Amino acid sequence: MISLLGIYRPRRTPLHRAPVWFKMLLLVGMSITCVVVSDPVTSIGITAACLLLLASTLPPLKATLKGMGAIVVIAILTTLFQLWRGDWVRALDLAGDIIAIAALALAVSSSTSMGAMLDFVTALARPLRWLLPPETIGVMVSLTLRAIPEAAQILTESRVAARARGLDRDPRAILIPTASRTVGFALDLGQALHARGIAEHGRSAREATSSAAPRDDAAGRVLAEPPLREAHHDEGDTDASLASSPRRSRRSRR
Amino acid sequence: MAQHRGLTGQSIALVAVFAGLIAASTLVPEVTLVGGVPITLQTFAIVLAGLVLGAWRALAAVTLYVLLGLVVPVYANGAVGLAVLTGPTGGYLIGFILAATVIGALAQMLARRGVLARRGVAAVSLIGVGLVSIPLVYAVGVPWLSWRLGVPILPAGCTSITDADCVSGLTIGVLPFLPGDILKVVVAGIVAAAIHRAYPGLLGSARAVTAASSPVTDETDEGARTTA
Repeated sequence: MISLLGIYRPRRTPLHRAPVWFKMLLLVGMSITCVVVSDPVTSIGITAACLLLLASTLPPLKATLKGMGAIVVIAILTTLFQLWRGDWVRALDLAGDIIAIAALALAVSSSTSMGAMLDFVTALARPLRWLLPPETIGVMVSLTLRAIPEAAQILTESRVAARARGLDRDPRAILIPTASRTVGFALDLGQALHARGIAEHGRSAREATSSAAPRDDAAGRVLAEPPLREAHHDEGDTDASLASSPRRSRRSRR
Repeated sequence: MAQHRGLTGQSIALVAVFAGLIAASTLVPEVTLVGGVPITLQTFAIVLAGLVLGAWRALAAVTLYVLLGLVVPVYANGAVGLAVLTGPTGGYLIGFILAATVIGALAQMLARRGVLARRGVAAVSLIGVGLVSIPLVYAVGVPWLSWRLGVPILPAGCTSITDADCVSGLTIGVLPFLPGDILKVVVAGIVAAAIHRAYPGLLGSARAVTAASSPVTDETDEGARTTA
């Protein structure tokens, strides 16, 4: 029902090998260019280039079409509206911009693994160190990934319970139990974090004793491994590990 | 250290779980009201995060959700992240961050004045605070939408509904969504009042809630409670 894999597939295309910061810079730069340049020919050229880039990452067909579908509808509506006003230059320019940026964004998404993107976001947040310790951000992200199915389940259960009472058209009967169970879940989770000494007192605790740091790290790592990322690892690494294990054993035999 | 004082395990858990709730609210099918009107829960979850968590935790939760959306398809309609954030409706996502932070600060103000403890007043005042979020979301979202779609923000010289001048940021970005948004804010206010009744002190000292909800007390909890 809920697909959290996104459209990333492990492949070996040029965009997959490019560093994440380069891809994000490309995306930001292209967005600015698209908005600044209002020449329809350039716009169509950029659009074609972005679509080619998207195709070069070999994205999964169905998910990509779904992702592009919505944006293409918006682009068509915009174009029709501008044509209706009689401004065909503007129509071409805007439609090109919308489709180009969407295609490039999809190309980045389909060529960047979740782990790489999370690392990039964490690196971006590093200047915020005085506000949030970096490892706290990692814990938060992994806890959020864990909380999504939990919250979805609470929501579904509350709805089933409300329906059983004949109240499935009353938002209060669904949402008050949902919200209160969610907060309760969060408070339990908070006590579990507190009990493990994760992020308690932030930096002061880390600076006080260096011996506490490895324990913090270990606890963080246990939490920081959502099932999702394991799935990614399996997908990406099975071939490599299968291929390398006989080689390694052969080498050890020698 | 002073700037990390609020960063307890409880705050981290609340931020993460609410970011998860916002994400989950876009994944489950919408709730159908009396009369068969479907409402999606995304705006509800954002407003609820602001009203329940307070300013900085709501800021963190909604930012976390938006950043997570870059990687995982958790935006509305299961769309994939970057294309949405850079697309015409991306401004609404930025507006959500602003709105949740501001109404979080206002809700904390209510909590400090003790309004949330009074049963009848709490829901009404929380709804009032929540309504502030609507203009804030539109203040960022609508100019962004108009700019990306190349339409004016305000309708100029609009005479009939089929007139080309009628299409503007206001008519396509605000009016269709306004009734639903008001309804969601009202529901979020009622729900938030119930939450603050069930977990008093959620907007006050972070420790007070843990102390109140756990029978075991140690000296740090007692210290926190006396200061709270």
